Amino acid sequence: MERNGGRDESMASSSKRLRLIGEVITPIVVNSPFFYIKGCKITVTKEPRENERGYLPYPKKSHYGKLIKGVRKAPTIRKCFQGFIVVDFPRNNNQAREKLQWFLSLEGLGAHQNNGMGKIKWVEKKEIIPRRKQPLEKKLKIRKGLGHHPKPLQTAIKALLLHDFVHTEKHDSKIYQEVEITSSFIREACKKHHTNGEERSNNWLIPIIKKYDGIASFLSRRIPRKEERRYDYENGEIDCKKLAEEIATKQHSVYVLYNYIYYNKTMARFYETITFANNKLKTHLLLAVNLLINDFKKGKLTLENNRVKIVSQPTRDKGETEKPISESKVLKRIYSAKKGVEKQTTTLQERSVRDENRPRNTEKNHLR
Amino acid sequence: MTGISRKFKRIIILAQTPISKTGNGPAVGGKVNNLLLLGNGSEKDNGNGKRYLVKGIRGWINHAMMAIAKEEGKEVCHTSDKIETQKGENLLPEGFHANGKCYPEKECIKHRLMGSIVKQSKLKFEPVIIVSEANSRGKRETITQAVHIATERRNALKSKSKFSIQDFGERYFSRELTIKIELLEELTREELGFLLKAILYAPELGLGASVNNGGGRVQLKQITLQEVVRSRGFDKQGKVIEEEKTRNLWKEMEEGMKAWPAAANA
Repeated sequence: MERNGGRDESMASSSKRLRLIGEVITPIVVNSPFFYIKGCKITVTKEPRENERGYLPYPKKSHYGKLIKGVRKAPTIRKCFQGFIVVDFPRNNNQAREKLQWFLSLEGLGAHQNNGMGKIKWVEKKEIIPRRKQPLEKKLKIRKGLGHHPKPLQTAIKALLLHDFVHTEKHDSKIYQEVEITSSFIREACKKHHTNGEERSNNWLIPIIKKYDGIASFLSRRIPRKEERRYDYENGEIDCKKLAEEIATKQHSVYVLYNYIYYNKTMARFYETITFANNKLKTHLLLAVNLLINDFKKGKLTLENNRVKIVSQPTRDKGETEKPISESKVLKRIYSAKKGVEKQTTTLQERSVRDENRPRNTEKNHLR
Repeated sequence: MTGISRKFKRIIILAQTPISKTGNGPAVGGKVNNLLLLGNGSEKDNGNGKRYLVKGIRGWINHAMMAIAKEEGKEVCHTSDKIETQKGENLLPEGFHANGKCYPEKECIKHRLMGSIVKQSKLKFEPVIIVSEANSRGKRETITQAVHIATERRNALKSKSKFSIQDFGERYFSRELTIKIELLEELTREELGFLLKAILYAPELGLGASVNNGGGRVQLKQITLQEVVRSRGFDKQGKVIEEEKTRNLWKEMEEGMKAWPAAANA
């Protein structure tokens, strides 16, 4: 509300909504902390107010049910949530007030109420202005075909697609057979992507392969499952020598190689590692490439003398990075006309704001 | 002040226990014999320390009902609706039928009170929430009850050696506690008498675990039937105000106590 305060004040009279807040005394036994009753949204939260991004924080989760020795699964155990309860009514009219009376008569919610679970104590009633929620970040999608990219980026993509098909210090080739890579530059980078102390060598591909191989494997490794072989052996044997030769013939173009890995069905059968056999090698390679392209579009990578370079970013700290930017923007608006006195006043303004530790954009309100 | 009000009856039991181990908080990854933890007091500025739930009171009364019905020679529901194991061994003891089998024809008195998966119960057990007496610092609350909570270490060594056979801790509590049972519907005299006699019989069974080892002994001090009018409303700031007006119904209790065994004999 602080950010667009002026706009909200004009809307305030029309869009106020009722909210009923209560405290959860014993855990509410439900499957999800968000549900609807009579068209009103009910949320079990950690705190009865929204966080900075406009969302109610997720509550503390625990389990309730009968315990059978050795078996700790549903339906013997059910989820339950603790914290506060927030009921949001759709409007602020008579109908909403009638619903509020009905909710006030409730003493519990969820299952096992006769056994003492889900008891609520209502605390207060409020009139609130609904806050705008910040949209969630988009999920990464693996693209069907590569777009057009500059040449240095194409070599990086090619190196990432081929990096697991050679023997390295840590592991052998993941399709058992080594692929003959024609370019010596890429071959050297692929061979050395697990060796330590090679970051400062002449080969600029090594740090890039190391970074995106690491991120891609970290993102997909969640549930461990052990296997003895690198592919599902029970569905038939794969001729790995033939496969390696096929890949070697496709390496002249990035687009052909990408499409081959994307669409080939025998390639899709290989696992990324033996310890995490849920993850496929295909998705690992494609994910690494897509992360590289996304970072290039965001500006985290730059091109310098036909090389791709990682832009070194300062460590994220809210106090250091975000405050000065917003303040300078505000100050420019105020003192743009008076050029002579600009320097003195800006320094004074900055100090006063920093000393008092005010919220970020308080000056914006009286500007509009 | 505009608000809502509800009129209902409830039974309040004042009991005292020297040691009880009602545990069984089925926390995933936790120990079996832990009390069910409801939350840390310090998070919610109550300052009362950790809050625990006393489990198994409904089941305790449930078993007491079965026991007194068997003494009177009446067939009632068993606690479980399972008749036999996968191997075909009979699980149902003599004098009982599976839970919910009697409904809707020939509904037994226990099913009328406690219900089953096919019908809702008439009794609602209020949660008994306890906090440690040492942490509560003399604060009195309506929701929580301050008792003594501690851990008993059960350690056994192999003879003439220091090799331990068993080594684990059990949480227990001791002191006075009040149990509240809300009546969701009006009970008949017979049902009320049956419920009251079950409560009176319950200390014979013992509450919680290790009953044969001195645990779970309960001494009943007071049982009262009340008529409650509970009202709720808002003040000017929007804060909720709750009020309760109570009236004791000792005459109704006396009539109920006479009604139950006579009806059984008839």
